[in-house]
Amino acid sequence: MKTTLELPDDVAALLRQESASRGGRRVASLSTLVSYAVRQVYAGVPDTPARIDLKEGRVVVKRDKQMPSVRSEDVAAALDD
Amino acid sequence: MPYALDNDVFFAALYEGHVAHDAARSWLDANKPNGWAIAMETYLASLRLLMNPTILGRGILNGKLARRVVETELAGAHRGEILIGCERPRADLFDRVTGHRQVMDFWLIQTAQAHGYTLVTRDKALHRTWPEHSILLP
Repeated sequence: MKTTLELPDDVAALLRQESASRGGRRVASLSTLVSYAVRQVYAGVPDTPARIDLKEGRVVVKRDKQMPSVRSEDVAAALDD
Repeated sequence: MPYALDNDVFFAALYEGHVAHDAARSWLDANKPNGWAIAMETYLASLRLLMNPTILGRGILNGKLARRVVETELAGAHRGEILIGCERPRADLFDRVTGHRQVMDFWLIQTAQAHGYTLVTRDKALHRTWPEHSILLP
């Protein structure tokens, strides 16, 4: 979804600072950082966890529409917290 | 040659929503018979990722289920080993670290190498630094 947000100066400054500390907009865009923060605060405990194909030696955690697509940069950022 | 998967490749194989899932899953399925492993740090990283709402959104797992996911992947006909590094960070590797984000990657290189494994990664910079100790997945 594309939208416009009006952010207080201090929030905008924090986002710019966080983006810079993670390697800049290419790695951590403002959009990525806002999505990250919203998921952290509002996702809560899920009613049901992800569907999982659990077979010995081959497991796949299935993605549904409530679950994000992730890149290697997202994995690195999550582990860097 | 047995392979050790780094955090990103192992998680990509597990989670369908990772952009590299198909490549990592196919590679792991095809190469398990050669012998494979993850470091203990990668095991723990996987638990963290599977329980993190910024990664799995509304689908996050609890600790019991996350551990079961990793243990079930490690089981089966071609069992995965857990590598535990017991030595201190080696000078020949760690003196080449230039940023804090490299520390864990270099540790995985050291741990894999100490056990006779080659690290599998999608990190081009890591592979460029240690081409003899890693292979690069697309």
